[in-house]
Amino acid sequence: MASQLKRLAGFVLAASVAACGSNASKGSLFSASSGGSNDGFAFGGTGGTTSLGNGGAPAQSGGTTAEDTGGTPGIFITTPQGNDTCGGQAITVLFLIDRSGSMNCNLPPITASADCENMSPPAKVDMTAPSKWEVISSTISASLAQFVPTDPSIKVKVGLAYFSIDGVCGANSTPAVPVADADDAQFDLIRNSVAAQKPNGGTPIVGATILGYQYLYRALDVTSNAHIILITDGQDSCADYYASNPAIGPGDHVADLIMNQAPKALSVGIKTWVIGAPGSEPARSMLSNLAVSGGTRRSADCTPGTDADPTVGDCHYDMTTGDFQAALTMALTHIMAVVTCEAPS
Amino acid sequence: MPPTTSGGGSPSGGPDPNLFNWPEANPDGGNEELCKPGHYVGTYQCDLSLPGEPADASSGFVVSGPVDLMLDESQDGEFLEVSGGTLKSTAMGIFVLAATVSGKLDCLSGQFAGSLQDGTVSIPPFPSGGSFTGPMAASFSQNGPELSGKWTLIGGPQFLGESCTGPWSATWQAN
Repeated sequence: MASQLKRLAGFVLAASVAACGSNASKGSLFSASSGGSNDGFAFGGTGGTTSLGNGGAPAQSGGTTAEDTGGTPGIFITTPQGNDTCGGQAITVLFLIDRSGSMNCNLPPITASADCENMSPPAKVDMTAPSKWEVISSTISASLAQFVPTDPSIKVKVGLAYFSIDGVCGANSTPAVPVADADDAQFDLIRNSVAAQKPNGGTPIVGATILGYQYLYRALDVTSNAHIILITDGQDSCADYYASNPAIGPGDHVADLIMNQAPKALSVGIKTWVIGAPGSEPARSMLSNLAVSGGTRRSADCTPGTDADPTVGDCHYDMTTGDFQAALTMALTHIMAVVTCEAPS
Repeated sequence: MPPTTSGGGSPSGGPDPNLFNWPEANPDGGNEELCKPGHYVGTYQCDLSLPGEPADASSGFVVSGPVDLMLDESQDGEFLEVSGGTLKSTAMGIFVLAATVSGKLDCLSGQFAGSLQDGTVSIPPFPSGGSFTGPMAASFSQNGPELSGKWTLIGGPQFLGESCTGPWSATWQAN
């Protein structure tokens, strides 16, 4: 050992002496990958393949649809399928809003969706332009008054939940603003809540939606006329989190949401409205299939898409092109008109 | 896997408790938190084999010392990033090793991926006579909380690719 130490010491000492009077090299032979990648959970991805969409989309019964005018963002004259009858009803609405870190990005074209996904951390590059979150929060705040129906016999309750709630992939069945009568006091609570949020964390669409159903079904005991309005800028990114959680485990939870959970919710009177913000381009098929199984497909001839091309799907409110704020305003106006019985269903 | 849901109401007529099951998370950090920001302190070790000799313990020379990391939240919350990290040698050793540590802890997977940068080796009072780099990997454990895993010293040109791999760990001290 002594001889080995001497040899090694001599080796270093020789190098040390050689370094005198010169710039000692500070090699960087190893260029480590900095951080694990967030692969997310592409529809039909690591959790297993899904087979949805044409031929695989959950069947939906009843309701009528009108024709779309051609897909121009912001134009929504379609009506969702459904068999609700309005008048003298109690209507319950729960906003379910994605507050993942990517919501911090500017909207396209300032920051392209793909560029936003590659930013670490996602952030605005143009401080004079709004972030996705700022557009969503201001638009929701401005749209709340529409929850007061002109028909006084219709009673509306509204609340709001976020995902994730822990900066990672967690969700909770207790909303940030629990459902209550849609009045000025409740609207102020919602406005204050969205204004205070700092987007952060992953996109646990599956967990948040199921817990939203749970809240409406178990805590509020709804049996009809309940609505979840899901707003997201991406696909569920939490497959690894789900797989590592012993209470959840591995599996294709996105497919389970679409094929099982949303139809069950529909069967107990909870519809799922889906709005895809810029960034959700790779999730169009997933979001469209969720809208279909959740009872809110935009038209009879829309295409929910399949996992063969997850970027194809137009049965949800796709806000990925055009003026996002204008389109979101129109979408919320339309959805609120339908859920409050101001528009035909 | 959450319990499979069943259709219809419960036999009692109330909400079916088997519908819409999913674990609740804790807003204060999550019930399955796989990372924790703060100051981590620990140790590393490896058996440095001599140039031209087999890389086994009998011919190696033990390198060890303290490792010190500060992990801060990134803006998107999915990672903790090393805002300040060092790996040094023990004061008792003949060699003086020093390197900075960079890297990220993925809060979704609990995996730390990092690297040693600007590593130098010297024998006081002589100046640095060699450089090294190397990867550092670890898994996060809520017990501690602690990071533990493997690291590798990869010698620079002066050491003809000499290397060693060994364990390291660091325990959370404070935010």
